[in-house]
Amino acid sequence: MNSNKPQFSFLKTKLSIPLLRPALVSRPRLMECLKEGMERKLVLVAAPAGFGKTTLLSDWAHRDDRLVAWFSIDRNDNNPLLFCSYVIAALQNIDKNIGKAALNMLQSPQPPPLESALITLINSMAPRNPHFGLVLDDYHLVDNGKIHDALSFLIDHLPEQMHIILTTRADPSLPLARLRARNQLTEIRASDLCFTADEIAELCNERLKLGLSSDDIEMLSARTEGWISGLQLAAHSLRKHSDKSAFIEEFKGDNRHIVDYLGEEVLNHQPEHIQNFLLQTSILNRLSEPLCEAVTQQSHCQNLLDKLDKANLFIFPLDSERKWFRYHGLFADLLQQRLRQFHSDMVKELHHRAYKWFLRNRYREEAMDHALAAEDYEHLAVLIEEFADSIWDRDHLVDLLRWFDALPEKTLSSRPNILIYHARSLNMAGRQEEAEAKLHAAEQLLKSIRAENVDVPAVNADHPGRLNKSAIMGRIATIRAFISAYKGDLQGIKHHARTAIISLDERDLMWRSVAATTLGFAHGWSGDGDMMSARFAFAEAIAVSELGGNTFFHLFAKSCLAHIDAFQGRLKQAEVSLRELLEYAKDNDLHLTGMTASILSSLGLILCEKNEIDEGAALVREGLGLAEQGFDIVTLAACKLNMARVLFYTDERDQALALIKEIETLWAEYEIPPWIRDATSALKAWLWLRCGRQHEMSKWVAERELKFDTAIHPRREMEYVVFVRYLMAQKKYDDAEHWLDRLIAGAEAGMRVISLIQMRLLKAQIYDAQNKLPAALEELELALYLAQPGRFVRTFVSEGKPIAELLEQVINKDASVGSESQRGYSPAYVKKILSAFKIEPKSQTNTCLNEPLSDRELEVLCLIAAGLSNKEIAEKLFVSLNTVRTHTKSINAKLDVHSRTQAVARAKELDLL
Amino acid sequence: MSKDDAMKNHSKVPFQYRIKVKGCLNQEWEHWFDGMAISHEGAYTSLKGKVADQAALHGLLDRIRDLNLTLVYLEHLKNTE
Repeated sequence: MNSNKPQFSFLKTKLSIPLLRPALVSRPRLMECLKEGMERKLVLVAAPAGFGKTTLLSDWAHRDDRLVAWFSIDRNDNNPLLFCSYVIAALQNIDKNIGKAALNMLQSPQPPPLESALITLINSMAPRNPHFGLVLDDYHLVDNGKIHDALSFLIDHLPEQMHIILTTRADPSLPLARLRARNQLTEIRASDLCFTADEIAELCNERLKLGLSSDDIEMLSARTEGWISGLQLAAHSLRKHSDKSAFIEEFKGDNRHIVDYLGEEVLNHQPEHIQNFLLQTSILNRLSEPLCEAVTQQSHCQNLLDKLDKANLFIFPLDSERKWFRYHGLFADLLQQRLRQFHSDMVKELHHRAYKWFLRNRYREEAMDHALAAEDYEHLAVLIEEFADSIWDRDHLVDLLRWFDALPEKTLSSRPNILIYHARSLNMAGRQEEAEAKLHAAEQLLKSIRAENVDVPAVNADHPGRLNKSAIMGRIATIRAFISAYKGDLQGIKHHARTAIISLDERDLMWRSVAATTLGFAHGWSGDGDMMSARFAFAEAIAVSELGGNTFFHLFAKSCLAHIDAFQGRLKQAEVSLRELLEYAKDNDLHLTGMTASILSSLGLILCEKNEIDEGAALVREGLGLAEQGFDIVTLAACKLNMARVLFYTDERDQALALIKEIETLWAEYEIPPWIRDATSALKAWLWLRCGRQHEMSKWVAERELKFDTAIHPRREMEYVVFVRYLMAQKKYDDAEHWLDRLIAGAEAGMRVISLIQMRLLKAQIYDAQNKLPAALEELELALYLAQPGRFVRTFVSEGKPIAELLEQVINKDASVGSESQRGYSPAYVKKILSAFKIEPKSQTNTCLNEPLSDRELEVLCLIAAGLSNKEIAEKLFVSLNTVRTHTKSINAKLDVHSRTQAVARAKELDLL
Repeated sequence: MSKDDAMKNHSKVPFQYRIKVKGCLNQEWEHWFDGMAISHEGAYTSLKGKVADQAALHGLLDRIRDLNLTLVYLEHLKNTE
């Protein structure tokens, strides 16, 4: 019952064009409308029940069923993902290649926003197809605004060759006025659908041979107002009456509602056993022989169904084998009304029988529908609980809200586990206070229960099926961790997730893996950067998700662990496990998820660090491409950030800065977690510093409130590292060294090796700049020692010339001193790094400076721009004329210009002034 | 709906409505319309009774639509209780 893959099992009968008897009366007028409609985007067939909407369309569709995709909507299709999946499945009946990728996206455990799946769908419909229509039958049953939005989006971006035809009893919430104004809408309404007197004559006299006079026809037309169901009922009755005119006269004189009047007529003409059959089976939305036998407790039901089918008694088949049928909606209403009137005592029992049959045959939602109608809340609760358990780790639990709402308070409040799922469902719906109230109720309930154990669904053979109270408390704590996550309360997540892991039953694997992953995430990313704690939590999550077959959380936890490996300098392990995960994702149909996008991106970045730039950049680009299909905003931002890092490596600074701008635009609109903001800010500042944008830098320092008088949050470590670079550029070496020592202490405690290597390299440069060569080499050797196991290269190269020169010294010195094991790094490794320095950066189209202007040079440049002569500048700055000349020479060299005017123009281009 | 209205609905103060449709509907349909009282005025039927909230009212209107009854008017009656 518990399956790893999300499953939408499509009911095929909903996707085939209904096999209605061909209409008795051909309607060229309406067919013409439909033909015209195939030149517009939307055809709206809007009329109340019984106007022959579906009959018209199925007639039309059967003319060339290769060009019509059909979807019969029912009330259970109000989940937008399910709805769109059905739409795609319907379109695949036309061309099986349409929307394959989109369907994968929708069915992935991390479904993207609907729009991006729709874009993928639209793009998959190349103009190769001839024009075709998508029929959405009974669209009035849709009451989810997101589905209206998705359909509007689809209509707005509809490929030329596709047309949508809606049948509905009420005008849908779509931009109809706009479509009308643009002549993109064809409407067929009740007044178009109702039979004209001529059509009634054709039906009654030519087809049914009833031999009515023109007066009779006139009277029928007036009495029924051309309403087709009314006419059908009338025709049925008329066949049984020899004096047709007298019947019509009486019918006209009676002002009872047609259904009342004629329905009774039709029903009373049936033999009693058929009447009973009709009444008892009227509670069913669809009928089949075994189901009818279970509900009526009679045999030979197939006979009866065939008879009704032949007699055209308002029943029609749903499949070509004629196994499933359904009643005409109005007729079913009438029958149900009669059933309640005459056999009200039977209604619950009939629903109960239907519930049992559907349950036995594994039609879960229909079983739930009938359990609800039978007011069998205890069984319904069990079903809901099992359902919730099978989908709870995915984003679908929120769809169960209507079922939770249907349960009476009494049933709800006697089952702690149902309360917990209800809480999760509310939590996902953004109703945190109500969710907490449910959890509180569950807690109180547990206290009042005497028994030691509580029954829960057993998801597999190893699952105990009953849990003790403490294990149930663990489930409560897990949901509380989610509530904390929604509130951004990190301490809360950690507290509750830890409680959960301690309390949950060993064998309650799904819950354990979710709790452990949540804890790991709180530790590692959004939180305090405590990699060891995060590691333990993820390791636990991996172990239990493996046992529990929870592929999605397995992938998630493992990729988190790989990130930690990379963070701690174990690039090799990280690379191996990320490559394995890509395979794993493919094997488990998770390759089109945001998770895969971020795995590709991280793997690419690791390759870049190892100086395998081309392959690395390609992977990062691939990851970004996948993320841009829109799984979630956080993945997209993270993949953009990694791409910007690659561009930084390849020295394409303008493009890197442009990407950073895009990330900033994202967070103006969406909620982006702080760890991405901080990392982006650090990269941006480093780029600015490289470009010599002093002005922006000092603004950045002020804005980001980079002060060393407070404890440094590990999340912001990289920003502080850039700040240290800023101090170094200003030659404030003492300050820089002081703060660097504090940063190093923090990074060592958290075992963040990737940060430590960079910090050691900075320290080496500080010593080098102060001519303390031995100390500088010592720092560099520490960095090499940390970096060699992971074969880091780019971190060194990014530091530029000073580190290259120091590395040369290390090589020379090494030839004479000590063995490799004493030093902790090999000369071969150092040579490998050095060779990477020699590769020229790709692009020189940057509008950034290769070497920044010093503060003094910038000052001189400002005065030049203000129109001062060299002599005036010298006086103003209290320096000699020669010094000013040196500065201007240096400025010209750095700006790659040859005159003062050129320098000012270039400086303006570069935003330096 | 404002929060206050929602609270009112939750506290289950029902609204009285009268709905008039064209044609005469059998008394037995009362069940169908959640126990609304059915009475006849000439060629019209009026349904009168308490409706739990707006959602329930729309449910009733849907049922009227599904029987292809022509809606003539809808009236919100002052609560007499």
